Amino acid sequence: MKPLATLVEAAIPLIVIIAFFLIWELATIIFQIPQFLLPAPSAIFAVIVKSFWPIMGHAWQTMFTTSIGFLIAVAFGLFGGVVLGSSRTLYKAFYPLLIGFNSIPKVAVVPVLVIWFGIGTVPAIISAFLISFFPIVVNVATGIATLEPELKDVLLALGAKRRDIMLKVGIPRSMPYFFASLKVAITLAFVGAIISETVAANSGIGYLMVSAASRFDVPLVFAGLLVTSVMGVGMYAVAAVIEQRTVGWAMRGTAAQP
Amino acid sequence: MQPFVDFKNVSLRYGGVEKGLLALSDINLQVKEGEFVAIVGPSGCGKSTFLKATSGLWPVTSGEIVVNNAKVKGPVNCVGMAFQNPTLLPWRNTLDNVMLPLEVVKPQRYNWRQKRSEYVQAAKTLLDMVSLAGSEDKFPWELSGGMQQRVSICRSLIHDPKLLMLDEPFGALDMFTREDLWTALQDIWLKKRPTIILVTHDIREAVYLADRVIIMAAKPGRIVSEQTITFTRPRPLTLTFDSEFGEIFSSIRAKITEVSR
Repeated sequence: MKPLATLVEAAIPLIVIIAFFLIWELATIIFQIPQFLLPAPSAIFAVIVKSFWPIMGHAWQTMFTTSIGFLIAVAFGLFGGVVLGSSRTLYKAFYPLLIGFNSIPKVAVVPVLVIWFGIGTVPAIISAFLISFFPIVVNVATGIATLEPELKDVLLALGAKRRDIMLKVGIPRSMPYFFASLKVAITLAFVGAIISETVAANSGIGYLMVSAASRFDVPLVFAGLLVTSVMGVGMYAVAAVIEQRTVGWAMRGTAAQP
Repeated sequence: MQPFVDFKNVSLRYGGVEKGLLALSDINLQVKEGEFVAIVGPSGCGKSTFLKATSGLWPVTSGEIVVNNAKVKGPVNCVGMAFQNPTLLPWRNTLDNVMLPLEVVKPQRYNWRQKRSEYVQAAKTLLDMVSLAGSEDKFPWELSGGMQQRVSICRSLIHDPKLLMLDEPFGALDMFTREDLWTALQDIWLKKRPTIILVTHDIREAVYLADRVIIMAAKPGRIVSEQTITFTRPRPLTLTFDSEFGEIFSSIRAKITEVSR
């Protein structure tokens, strides 16, 4: 019974996805929805198979800009989070500015980035960075700032310097928050990169979708959406696996306990 | 001989010199090296503040504190502390939790890598003394509350501190576990002889463990009385049913009732 139960549990997400596409397919047939409004999944897959290599080329470009932007966001986010989390004054001082920046619609920033850097790869990387930076900073800062005061006292009474407290307790303690934010940030990074590509690029999934839409090639637009989702799920899974490996101690309730 | 901990007319006021809450008012107290002192009193009498002031975590408003022949200005080095909440690090197993102070405190922090096997041995000896041998590789969530508290106490002792400060370390435990740990703590103290200041609201605990019980009153936090306890060591747990023990207990109880009115 038990192996079967685990097998079912593992298969359920897949079943849900297949059911989703089946219902979609059936809906387009039953309601006779024209392809230029909502293409059937079968049509989308056909386009993917037909134009596999061109789509992969664009997907690679998007993957590249997203990953670079995301990695920069991770580096700056970790650094910023540690700095802000370690000082209440800095946290209070910079928080309004951060929220202000985060409230700016990134699509409005892209034209400015184009003026500064031209079109193509650089603005995509920067908007991926801008959009995924915020959740990382806030989460890391929160993890560090919520350190138990007693624990801090124990270390201070041992003659620990601020740096010791950070290295031994603050940073390890903030890691679950950090990885939780990575899962949000990686999907946001795709959004950032694609927004930029739709406005100012001549390659990438965003560009592919905009140019396909202008030719009313709606199945190709949807193919782009689908490829983006697959990449997003893949990157999310990578983040989740790293999280499970490194901070499994914080998730003992679910799987780690024997 | 110079007292190990010396409070001279110490006052500590929170938030502002004039209006803030007077947490400690004109405290004078001397603790000898190797003495076991317990502080009891109603809640809000400044017991915990007393510990924070002693370890230099909070600056005093007036007066001065001398610990180990040096005036307390900032955090005092080489103090061991344990609290009601065990505050173990969930990503470290028992052994690594106990060894945390060695990675921070001087001089061990400079050689803890080279002398690791030696320190591991010391940690194991300590864990054995609180009957936790065999739990070295367990993580905090695999331990019961009482076991976590034992680990926390081992952590406060691993660097052989001259001064050990315990802030209601057994407060959250059931009676059997608590009494178990009383005897364990007494054994450790008899063997290593650190100076211990134990803050507690359990009078039995204070009388059983301490050489001297200090009674504090609240608003403002002040010392009202003290009681020297002269029972021979090691004290058996049955001592707590002794009539003389009962008398001391009642007189301290009466004093606290008197001052909290």
